Amino acid sequence: MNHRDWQYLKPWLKQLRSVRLQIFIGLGLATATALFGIGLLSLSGWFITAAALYTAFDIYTPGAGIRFFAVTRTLSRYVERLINHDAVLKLQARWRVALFKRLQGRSLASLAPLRVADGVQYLTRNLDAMDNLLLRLMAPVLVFVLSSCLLILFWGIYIPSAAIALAIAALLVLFVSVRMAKQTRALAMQQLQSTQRLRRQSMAFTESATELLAWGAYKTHRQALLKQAQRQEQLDDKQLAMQHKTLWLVEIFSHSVFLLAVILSGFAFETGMISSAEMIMLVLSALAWQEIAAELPSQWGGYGKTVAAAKHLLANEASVQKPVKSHSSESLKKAISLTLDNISVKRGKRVLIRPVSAQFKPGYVHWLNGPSGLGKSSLAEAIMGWLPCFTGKITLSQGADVDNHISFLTQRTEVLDGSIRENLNLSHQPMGDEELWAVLQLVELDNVVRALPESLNTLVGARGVMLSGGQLRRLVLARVLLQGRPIILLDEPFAGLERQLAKRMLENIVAAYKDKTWIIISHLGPNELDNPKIPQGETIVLKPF
Amino acid sequence: MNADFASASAYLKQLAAYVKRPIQWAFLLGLLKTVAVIVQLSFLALLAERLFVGEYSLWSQPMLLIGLSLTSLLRATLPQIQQQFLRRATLLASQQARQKLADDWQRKLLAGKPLAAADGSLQLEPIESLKGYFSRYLVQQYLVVTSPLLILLVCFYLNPVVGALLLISGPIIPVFMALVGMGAERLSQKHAQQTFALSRVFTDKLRNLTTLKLFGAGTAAVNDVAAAGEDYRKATMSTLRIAFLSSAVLEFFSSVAIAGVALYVGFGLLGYIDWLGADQLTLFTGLFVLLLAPEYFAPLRQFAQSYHDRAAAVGAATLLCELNKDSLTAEESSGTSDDLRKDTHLYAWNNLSVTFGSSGANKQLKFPDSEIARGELCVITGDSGSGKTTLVKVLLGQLPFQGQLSQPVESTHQIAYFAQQPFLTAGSLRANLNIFEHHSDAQIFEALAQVRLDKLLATLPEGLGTKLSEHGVGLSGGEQRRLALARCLLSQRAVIIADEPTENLDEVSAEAIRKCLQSYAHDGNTVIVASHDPLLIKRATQLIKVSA
Repeated sequence: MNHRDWQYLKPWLKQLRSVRLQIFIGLGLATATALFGIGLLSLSGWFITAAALYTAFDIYTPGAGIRFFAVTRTLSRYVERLINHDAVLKLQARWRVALFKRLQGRSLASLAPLRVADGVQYLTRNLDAMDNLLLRLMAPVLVFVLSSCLLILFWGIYIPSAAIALAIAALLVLFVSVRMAKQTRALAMQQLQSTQRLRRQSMAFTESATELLAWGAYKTHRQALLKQAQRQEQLDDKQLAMQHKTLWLVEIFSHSVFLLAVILSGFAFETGMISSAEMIMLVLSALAWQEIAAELPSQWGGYGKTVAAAKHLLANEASVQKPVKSHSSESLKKAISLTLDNISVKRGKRVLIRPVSAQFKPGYVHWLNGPSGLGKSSLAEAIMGWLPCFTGKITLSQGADVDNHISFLTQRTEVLDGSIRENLNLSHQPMGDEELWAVLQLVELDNVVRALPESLNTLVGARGVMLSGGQLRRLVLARVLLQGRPIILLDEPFAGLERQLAKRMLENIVAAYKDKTWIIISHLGPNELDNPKIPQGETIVLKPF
Repeated sequence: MNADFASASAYLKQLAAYVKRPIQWAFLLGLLKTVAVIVQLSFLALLAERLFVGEYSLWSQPMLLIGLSLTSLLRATLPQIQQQFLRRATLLASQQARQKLADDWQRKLLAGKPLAAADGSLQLEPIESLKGYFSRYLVQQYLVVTSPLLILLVCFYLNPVVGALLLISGPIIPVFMALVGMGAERLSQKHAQQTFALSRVFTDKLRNLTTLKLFGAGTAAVNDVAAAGEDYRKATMSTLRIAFLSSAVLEFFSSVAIAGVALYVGFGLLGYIDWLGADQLTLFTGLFVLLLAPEYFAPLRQFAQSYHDRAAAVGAATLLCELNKDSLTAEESSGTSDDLRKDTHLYAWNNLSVTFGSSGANKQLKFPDSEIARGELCVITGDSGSGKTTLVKVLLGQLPFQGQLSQPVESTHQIAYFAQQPFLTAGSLRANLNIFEHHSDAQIFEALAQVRLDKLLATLPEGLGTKLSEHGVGLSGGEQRRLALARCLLSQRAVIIADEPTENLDEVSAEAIRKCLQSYAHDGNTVIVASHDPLLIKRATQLIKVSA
């Protein structure tokens, strides 16, 4: 294992410490299982040879030994597998929490790619690949080394030269396995990229299939897709070929050890160093060792994928933010104004809007209007500090910070799997039901929620009741209002709502929350909403650059 | 459920037919390996007998030593060759599966059923899950019978008691495993639910990380994730306990059988028992049967593992077959493609109708008889839901119809299609314009000027090399639509078929598109548009009104 791999794997291995006793017992039992297997075969060989040659011996001890090995091998294997898998699951749970915490530490801007389902799947899949670390990478090598060492010692008692041969073979097995692991690592990166490319290409293909067919381009694109699939298959095949070749080398080594054991113990028998039964015992233990050696290359084929997964998961660590200090509730009650000074925003390489300057004052409702697709949401993200401003400066009065003083309704309606109550109070603050009902009434959802079978406890989200898009929009708006921060930034709050309802709702909430600084980003302005009765602040019409 | 299983099995068998040859070779090599093992072990037992009983010296047995070496080499090498055949079989089978999938997609499209982007992932995980069936299960299902049988025959020949012992303990194992497996199946269903629950919690939190951060709900979310993980661990462990029990049963029987053989042979050799040929045992036969016992169980153990491969493959095949089932139930087009055209008429139809739904409670859409000539700007109009898009699909040849329809001969490369949601890929502007056909940059500049995207292009520092994100993010809806129109103009095809090209657009973009379509028709091409845009209808040279 080279230094770089160690860097990637170290943070994961560190977590092993928390379950070290369990792992210690598990690996001990795994080694015992391997040794019992060797013991069963070699003791049986010894027993039969001794019996056939009428060597004088106490027949009951080996008989009991054989029965003991037969039963304990099964038992230790069963217990070992339970313990080790339990340890892996515990580790996995820990890694999952650690990964989640790490992602939370990231700046919101860098989280954007995660919103795509693909990114989430990718993360979970990589996390699953880490399962291999203990069971497929660490356990086989430890079991192999331990049981080989014990067998070498055992052979050393009888025939030192055979023990040396076994030691050399064991080292060779380790060497070719490690070499293969290194090769798979380079390959795994290629495989990962190739799979991703295939996924992208295949999804683009099915998405555009109607157009491809109409244009008569289906055939050529189909061929290109199958070609990419073939490239990926070839990489997989290459990895398997590598693994099989290594397995073959290991088999050759272990069969050579077996042949050497036959010859060396044959000589030792002829010179009277060992008895006939002992010779058979040694030869058969060489046969049994083969099985343990063959495990190594078959399990280590996944090394590359595990390292690649570890690397990718760690890549998320790059942009960790300092945790945000929460402010005392005192500062949240203050009225705070927000100033935009000559702000323009870039997305990618494109400047989106002409520079804007404005002052947003407490107690007033301000509008940022413009047609869809202009970059209004980018401006909102710039205000939140998720997107750097191309030009200009954003300041909050009284030195307040953005993270604690702006409530932000994102353009995308994010509803979590959970009850309405949980969705209104995500951080589990102490909050009475009256407070929730009051806000629901402001957004005219109280009657809807009351009519639901379990009222506030009704599940919403992917597996809950189907609320309409407009109802969900009002639910998340209620959540923003409950935060009670001095500045309220709403990105398209009226999506999916009738204009009459939007107008009423806006009048209700502005009247209920005094001294808030309201900023509404929308393609609708106060005129389209039939001039609601609210303290009107500035209306700014955004223009494309 | 049963029908799904049957069609999945049939699908796998169909694929297996393509790889018959390599699988046969792999089977043959597997058998040869078993023979090599039997011969190798017999040489070893014979060597022991010669050395210990015959008191020959080691060097007086060169043939045995050479035989032992050769069989050892074969034992190590034959599986390697076998794996080469299996790898080839796997490659062939997955290639077939991929081609079949692409064909099924096409059939589905022609039956009028669109594909979703998510369908594309069928080329990944499901095909991957099929592989174990071809690389392990197929050959193991034969070897699990023949290899133990060979060994059993040798054992019976050497000593009937040992043979009987192995024969009894062999079949007992699958019976026990089946019993344990039944319990495991129920548990594993529960386990699958738990897995789903865990990934749902985790995915839900990850996807909504922005909201969680905005509302300072991190700690609560971490606790939820941890709790879901703990539930998952408990559920998994209860499944694993059963699963491991079944393999422990297998190991227990093989261990006990080996121990039983050893004890029977040992006591027989010592003369403690003398029934059924125990008195005729020699060191050779005793050692030989002892060595054969573990080999007898090895294929059984491998088969138990490859059985999981089969389960995974059947699951994947079910997914892949679902697609097939869909397209098979779709009705074939019963309409005819007679030539109704009077020379310049490109399209003409009589009594054209489309039937939706299964036979019985079906809904029929009828279209007024029409002819569309070269050079027309023909607008298909009607209320929403009246069948504008349906007619477009029929004209594209992507929906079965009844009645008579004549289309341009060799229609495939004459139509430029302008979809309602034009497909844009994550790539450069240039790549997006060249998706269906390749054009030079000079042509592209000209077309972009026609659709009034030249000004935008001038503001882009990287010009045509500017990268778009997925689904054209980086361009407004109008710009995306104009880009798609540029694609149609570039193609210079005789027919443009457009579906709601001006829907939901800003006035600048909509007007640019209307003008372009009009002038394209004016140049002697045919433009067929489904639209309810009054300004576009005003410019139409032909109007087809459809109503439900």
